[in-house]
Amino acid sequence: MDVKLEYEEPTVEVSVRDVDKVFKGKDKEVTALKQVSFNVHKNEVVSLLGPSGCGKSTLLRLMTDLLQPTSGSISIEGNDPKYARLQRKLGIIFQTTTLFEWRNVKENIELPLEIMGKSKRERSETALEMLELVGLSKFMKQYPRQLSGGMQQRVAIARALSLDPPILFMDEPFSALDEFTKEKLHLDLMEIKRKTKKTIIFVTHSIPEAVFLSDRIIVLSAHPGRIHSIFEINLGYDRKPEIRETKEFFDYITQVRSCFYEEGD
Amino acid sequence: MKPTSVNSIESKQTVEAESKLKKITTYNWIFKDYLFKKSVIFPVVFGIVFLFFWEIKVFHMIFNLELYQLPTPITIVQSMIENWLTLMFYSAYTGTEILGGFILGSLLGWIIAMLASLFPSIGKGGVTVIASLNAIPIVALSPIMNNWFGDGIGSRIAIVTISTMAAMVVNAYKGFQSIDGNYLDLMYSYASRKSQIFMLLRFKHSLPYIFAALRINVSASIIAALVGEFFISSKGLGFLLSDQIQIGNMPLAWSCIVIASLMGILFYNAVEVTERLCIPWKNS
Amino acid sequence: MGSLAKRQNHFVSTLLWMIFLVAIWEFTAWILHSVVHINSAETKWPYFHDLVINIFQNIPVLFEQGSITFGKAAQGFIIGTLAGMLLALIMSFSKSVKYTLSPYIISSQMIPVIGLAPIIFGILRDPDLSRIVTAGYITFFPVTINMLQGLENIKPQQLELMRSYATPSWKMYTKFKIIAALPNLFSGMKIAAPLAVTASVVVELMGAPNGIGVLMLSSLYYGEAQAHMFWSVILICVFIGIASFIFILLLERIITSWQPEFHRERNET
Repeated sequence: MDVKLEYEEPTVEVSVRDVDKVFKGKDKEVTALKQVSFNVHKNEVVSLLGPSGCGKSTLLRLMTDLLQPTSGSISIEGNDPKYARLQRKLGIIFQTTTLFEWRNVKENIELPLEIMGKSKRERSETALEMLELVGLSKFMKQYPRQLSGGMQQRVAIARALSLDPPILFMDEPFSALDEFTKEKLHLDLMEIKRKTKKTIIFVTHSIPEAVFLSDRIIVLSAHPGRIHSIFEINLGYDRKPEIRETKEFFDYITQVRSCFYEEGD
Repeated sequence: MKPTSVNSIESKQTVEAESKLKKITTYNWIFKDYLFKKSVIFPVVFGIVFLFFWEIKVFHMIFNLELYQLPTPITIVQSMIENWLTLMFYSAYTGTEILGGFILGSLLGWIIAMLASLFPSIGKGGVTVIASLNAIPIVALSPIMNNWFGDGIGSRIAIVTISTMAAMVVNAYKGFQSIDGNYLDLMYSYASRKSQIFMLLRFKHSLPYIFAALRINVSASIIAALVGEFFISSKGLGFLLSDQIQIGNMPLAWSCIVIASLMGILFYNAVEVTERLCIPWKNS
Repeated sequence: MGSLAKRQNHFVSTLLWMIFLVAIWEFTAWILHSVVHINSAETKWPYFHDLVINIFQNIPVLFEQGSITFGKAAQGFIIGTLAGMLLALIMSFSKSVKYTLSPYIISSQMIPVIGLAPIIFGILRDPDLSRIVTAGYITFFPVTINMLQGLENIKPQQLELMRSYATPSWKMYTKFKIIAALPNLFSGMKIAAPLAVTASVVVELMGAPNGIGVLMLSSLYYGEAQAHMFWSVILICVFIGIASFIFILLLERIITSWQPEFHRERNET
C-alpha cells in the first residue's frame, strides 16, 4: 500500500528467530509457541495481540529471560536476554502492579537501584526525576494502597524506567483499569515514549488499545501460538486522543479484527 | 425584588434549621455516639450486672453452689490484697517462664521456617511434621520436659518453647512462601541475589503472618506455663492454683486466674502495639 | 496439571521426615544407653521400638483408657461446638447481644481459659461431668469467634443478591449465611479439637478414677519400672490429639467439599 519513505535502515533492537516453546506436562506436551520470528526496531512500539492462551505473555517472558525457548533464539541489542537481565537492562511492567506494599512510592521506585547497589543520593535523584516524569511527585511519601489503580501503575512504570532500560516490556499493563483511566494512561505512555525515546513491547488483548499505541501490531493465533499477521499502523508518531475518532483508526480496527473472524471458530 | 426576598427568608430559615441540626448532632455525639455508644455501654453494664449477681449469690442459688465452691468477687479481691506479696512473686516467676519460652519458641520457629523456605522441596514435609506438634496435648509434654530438664524453671520454659514454636513455623513459612509469582519474577528480572530476595521481599511480606503467630502464642504460652506448673512445680501461679484448690482455698485460686488473665490481656495488647509500630503500611 | 504429583511429593517428603526423625530418636537413644550411659536412660529417652512393642502388649488397657478420655473430650467438644454455633448465630442476629458479649468473647483469646479446669473440677466434684464441661467450654470460645467471623465476613455482593430475591431472614441463614460460614466454623473446630483432649486429660490429672491421664500419673509414680508404659501413654495422648484434628479435617473435606483449596485443578476452556 504505502511506500515507506525511510532511507535509513532502522536498527534492530530485539530479534526473535524461529522460537518454539513447549511446556512439558505429566502426560502431555503443550506447544505454546511455534516458529515465531520477528524484529523490533529502535524507538518502535510493537503490540503482541491475541486472545488468551495464544502465548503472547509466554513470548514476553521468553524475551525477558523469565522462560527459556525450547528452540530458536532471541537477542536483545545483539546479546541474549540473560545478558540484558544481568546488565539490569530489562524494564518489565506486569498487569498486577507488583508494588511492594511496605514501601512508599519513592522507595518503590528506588527498589531496583537499591538492588544494584547504587548510592543513596543517586537513588533519590533518579527516583525524584522519575516521579516528575510520571507526575506523581506530590505522592512520593504515600503507600501504594493509598493510591488509585492508575496511579499505582504509573509508579510501576516509573520504577521500570528508573533502570533506564532501552526497552519497556509491558504485559497487559492496563487491562485491570477502567476505560477512563486506561485512556489517560495511553496518553501518558505516549508522552513517556516521546520524552524517553524508549522502545516498547506491549502485550494486550484489546484491539483499539493496540491500534492507538502501536507502530506495528503482531497478531498471534492460538493452539499452537504462531504469528497470524503483522500490521503497520501509520497514524503518526505523536498521537492525540482525537485520532480515536478518525476513519483510519476504525479502518485499522476493522482490519485487525477480521483476523480473528476468518479463523472460523 | 420579591422573589429574592422570599429567597432570603427561605435561606434564613435553612440556616436556622442547619444550626439546630448541628446542635442536635453535637448532642448526639456526646450522648449517643460517645457516652452511650452501644459497643461501650452494653458490655460495661453487662459486666457490672454479672459481677453484682455473682456478689449477691444469684449463681449460687441457680446452680445450688456453696461459698467454698464459688467465692464471691469481693472475697477474691480481698484474698488478692492479703496475698499480694506471694502473688507478685509467683507472677514474676510464671511471667519469666512465659516470656522466656515465648521468645525462644517464636525465634526457633522463625529460624526453622526460614530454613524450610530456603529448601522448600524438602522443607515443606518438615513443616507438616512440626505443624502436628500443634495437635499434641500440652499435658503430655510436661512430664517429658520434667524428665529432661528437672523440676526447675527450665522444664516449663521448654514446654512453652515447644508449644509456641509450631504456630510460628506454620505461619512464618506461609508468610515466606505465599508470594505472588510476579513479585519473584520482578526480583529475578533485577538479577537480585537470593539474600536480597529474602531481605527485601520475603521477610517484609512475612511480617503480618509472624505477628499473627505471636498473637496466637500469647495465650498458648500462658496455658503451657500454667499446665506445666499444675504437674510438677513448687512455685508459680499454676502451682498455687492447683495447690489452693486441693486445700479448698478458692478465693486465692481465683486470684491466680484473674492475674493470669490480666497478664494475657496486657501481653496481647503489647504484641498489638508492637505490630502497629512494625507494620505501618497496613493501617492509615 | 501435575498437582496430584505435587501432593504425592509432599506426602512422601512428610513420610521421609517422620522416618528420619524416628531414626534420629533411635540413634540418640543408642548414644544415651550404650555410649554415654546416662542415669535413668529408660525414663529420659527410651528406644522407640521398645515403646511400639509396649503399646502392642498393652493395647487393651491403653485402648480402654484412651477411649474413655477421648469419649469425654468428644462429648464436651460436640456440646461446646453446638453452643458456640448457637451463640454466634444469636450474636449475628441481634446487634445488642453482639455489642454486649463481643469484648468478652474476643478477650477469651488472650486469657488462659484452661486455667479454669481445676476450678470447674473443684465446683462440680464429678469427674465425668467435669471432663465434659471443661472440654465443652474450651471448645466453645474458638468456635464462637470463628463462626461469628464467618457470619460477618460474607461478601456484600452475595448478600445483596440474596436480598434482591426477597429472601426471608430465616432462609437467609439456612440457605446462605450458615453455609458460607462453615469454613470458618471448621477452622475454629480445628483449633479446639486438641484443646478439648488436653482439657479432658487435665481434669484426669486433678483426680478422676479412669482415663489416660490417670494411667499417666500411675506410671509416673512407679518411675523406672513403668518408664515404657509412661512413654506409651504419652504417645497415645499425642495420637488422640492428632487423630481428633485429622478427623475434623476429613469432616471439613466432606461437608465443605466446594472450598477452592480442595480443588487445585481448574478446567480451562
